[in-house]
Amino acid sequence: MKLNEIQENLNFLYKDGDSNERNILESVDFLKNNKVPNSKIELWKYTSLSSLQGIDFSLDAKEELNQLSITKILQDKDIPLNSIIIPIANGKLMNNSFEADDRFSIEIREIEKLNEYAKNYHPLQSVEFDYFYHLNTVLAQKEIHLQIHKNSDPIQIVLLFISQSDRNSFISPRVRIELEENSNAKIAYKFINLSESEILSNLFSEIVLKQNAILDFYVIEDGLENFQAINNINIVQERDSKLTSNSFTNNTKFIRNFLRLYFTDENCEAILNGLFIGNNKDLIDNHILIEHIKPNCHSNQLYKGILNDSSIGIFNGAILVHPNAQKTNAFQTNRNILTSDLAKIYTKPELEIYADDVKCSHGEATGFIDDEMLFYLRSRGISEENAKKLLLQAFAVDVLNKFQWVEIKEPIESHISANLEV
Amino acid sequence: MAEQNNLIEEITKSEYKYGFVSNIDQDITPKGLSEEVIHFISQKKNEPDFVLQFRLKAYRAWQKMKEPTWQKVHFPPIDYQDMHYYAAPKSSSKTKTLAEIDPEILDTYQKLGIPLEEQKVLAGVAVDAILDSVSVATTFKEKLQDLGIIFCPISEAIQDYPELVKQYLGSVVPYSDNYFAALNSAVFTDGSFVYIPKGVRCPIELSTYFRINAAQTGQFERTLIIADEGSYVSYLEGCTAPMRDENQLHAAIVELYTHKDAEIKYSTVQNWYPGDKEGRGGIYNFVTKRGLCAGDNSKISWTQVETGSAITWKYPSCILKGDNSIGEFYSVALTNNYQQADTGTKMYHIGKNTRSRIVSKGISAGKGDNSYRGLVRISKSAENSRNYTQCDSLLIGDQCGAHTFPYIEIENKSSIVEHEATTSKISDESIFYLNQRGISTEDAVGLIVNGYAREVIKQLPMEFAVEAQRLLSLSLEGSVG
Repeated sequence: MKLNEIQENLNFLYKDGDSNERNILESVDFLKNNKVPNSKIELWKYTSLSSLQGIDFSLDAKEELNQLSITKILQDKDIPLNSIIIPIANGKLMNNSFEADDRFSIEIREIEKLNEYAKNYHPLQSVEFDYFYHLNTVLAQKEIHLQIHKNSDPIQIVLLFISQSDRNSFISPRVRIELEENSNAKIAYKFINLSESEILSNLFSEIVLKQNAILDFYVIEDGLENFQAINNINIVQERDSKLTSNSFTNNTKFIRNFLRLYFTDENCEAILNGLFIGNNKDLIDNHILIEHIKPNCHSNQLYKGILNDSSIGIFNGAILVHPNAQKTNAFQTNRNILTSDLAKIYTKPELEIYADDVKCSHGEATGFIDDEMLFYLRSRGISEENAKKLLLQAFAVDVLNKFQWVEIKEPIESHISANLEV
Repeated sequence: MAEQNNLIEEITKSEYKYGFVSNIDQDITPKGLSEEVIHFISQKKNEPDFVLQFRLKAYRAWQKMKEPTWQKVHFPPIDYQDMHYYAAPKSSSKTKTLAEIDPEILDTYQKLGIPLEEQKVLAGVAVDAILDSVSVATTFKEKLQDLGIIFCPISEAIQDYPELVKQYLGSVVPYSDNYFAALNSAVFTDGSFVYIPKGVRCPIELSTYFRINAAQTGQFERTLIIADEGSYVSYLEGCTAPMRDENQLHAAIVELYTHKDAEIKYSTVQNWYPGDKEGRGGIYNFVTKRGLCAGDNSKISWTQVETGSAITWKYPSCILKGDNSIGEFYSVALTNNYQQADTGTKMYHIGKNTRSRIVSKGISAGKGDNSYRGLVRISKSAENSRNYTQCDSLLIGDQCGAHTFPYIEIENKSSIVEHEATTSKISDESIFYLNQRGISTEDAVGLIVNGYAREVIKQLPMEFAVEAQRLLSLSLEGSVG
């Protein structure tokens, strides 16, 4: 089934009466009344779905993974083995492949209602109007619910999103994570594609940080051939919670990350780091929406992109400060380097501010490698090629140094130094 | 806080200084828009066929268009059939000298502080004053004619220089460009026309004042400025309108065209009626302004100080087509009470080594909503291009909003684009510092705001800079405690 055929087949996919879950019915309604987004919709202005629309996807990818192949993945891929590894194959949780622990629990549940903060506020950017959120709701039907328990010891979890199929497949992983009061976790979403056919992964994930919770969060999409991903991630932060979000995208055909972050109470903090590297004809789209709803919250974003060959980069970071959110500090920096005349970057940093006692700024800069820096290195006898490589590496490492999870960071660093070519 | 609210109230209560109506006999079409109305306007102005055809094409295109909805300003739907599309002071049809002008019109300008005769002598500014739709007085025309400069109402240019108008009309803003541009192209009544011949540097600053006078008439003027090879002109536009309860639409078009090595500097001080303190009335200022740097090494510079209008919605843009061409945009937009502004610029880099600079300063007070929306597009052919954008917002009071929506599109590797935006309020420390030196809080705010906007105001020609500074302090007086 092609993307634009979904609408006609809704009744076939989902029969009324299948479930009484209201939000599934709402989503069916939405899909009936809306088409697959095109460039006329502001949020999809630069992100063309045309490359996906030609692909005929199957909606029921087979789970062909067993314990053996997982062990093999763990040996092959750079995965921190000292953490709890939860494999999710084609969107389905593989239950028996990890040890239970008193720090967390995981189960399959009915899809929970969207957090009220995620609704209504920003009319245009809200997930409520996101086609792929609704598509995920209809197709996933159930969600994987991960709970990090109250006052528990620090925990490291890797969610391995594995796709494996012998035909073009559309998969819909759905994960909800709740960090209870005073919990502290490092959680990574790592994507692995074993399939030779085309995979379109449409993830929706909601993460709630309760009071005083600390989350160090990673989304790693590295070297995924035949893989296109749409990731909608909503994070809701409650009082005194702290988030560090890190994203790394490299060598993947089509990525759309939409991170929505809601500060629902005072004294929340979020640091968002992102590095994206585009090669060949990759399209990498990072959308961020941060809503400062309550006073005294801080957010700081640093996103950097390197675009090689004829890749396309899109960065859209919106900061919305609500009328009562006084004493807000919100900063955003986006820097990009284009190394090829065929590469393109479209950025749109947005500020929307309704409170007066705030400090907000955004900065954007795009260019090529600085001639003076290059000259400095050349004058010290470094070849032009190596000098450029060094400078690009330095540009990237600036973001990577903010990744605190060493076992995640190191393999990325070595990939980058191996892959960077000018 | 209470003190602050009192002060805000005080300023919002101050009445609009320029609110008065001239009682002049007017020649008005019936309400509504149709092909007949367009034929009527065209006939009334005795236009050649190509202009009529241009209007009709635009009208047909307009009928097929939909009013845009993406803007961040809100207004009740406009009934385009409930408007007069042509209004002309009856007595003005054939005036040649100042003495022949209706004394009441002259009085109107006097109240606005534009003493035509005095200004002629003292400031050396040639004023092409436009009241509603028809130009009523043109000064300094002959002196300019000696240099070969054409500065006249566009309706006159259509009669006298049809070949020039035919060549350039719609060349920068095509009739089908956008909803309001199409509407303007169909019904435009008057505006200014400037042609600077090759190698001529216009010795004086050209100036026009627009007034919207008759109730329920939209003002659709159209300005066309052409700078031929190696020429230079600085053009000033100032706008005020009398007080009205109903909203009035102002959908103008300004087209600038620079040839090789030419430069146009276009400055605007806009102080139209902003509506009363409840947000009733006021002008809708929906203007399409665009300049084309067609030749190499040409330059277009936009400077605007926007303090009036209920809604300001415009993006003075530059198309940098010639190699090494330069585009500049300096803007101060102030919103108070229920005013809304969605303004910014677009810079299209097409030629090699093109440069652009954007400095936008937004000031929001009261319940005002102020948005910067801009586009910087570096196309593939624009090698070694450079853009620098700075947009700052200043918030005064906790009920206003300040927003920025910059679009940055880069399609080659040799260009450098920088964008910076900040939002802040006037810091207590700065106010305290000035208080300490015996300056009242009100004056301190005025000082700080003027300092904040200085970078833009210094781009304005002398006479305008003074007026702009006065306008800023006047509009903001006492809005911070």
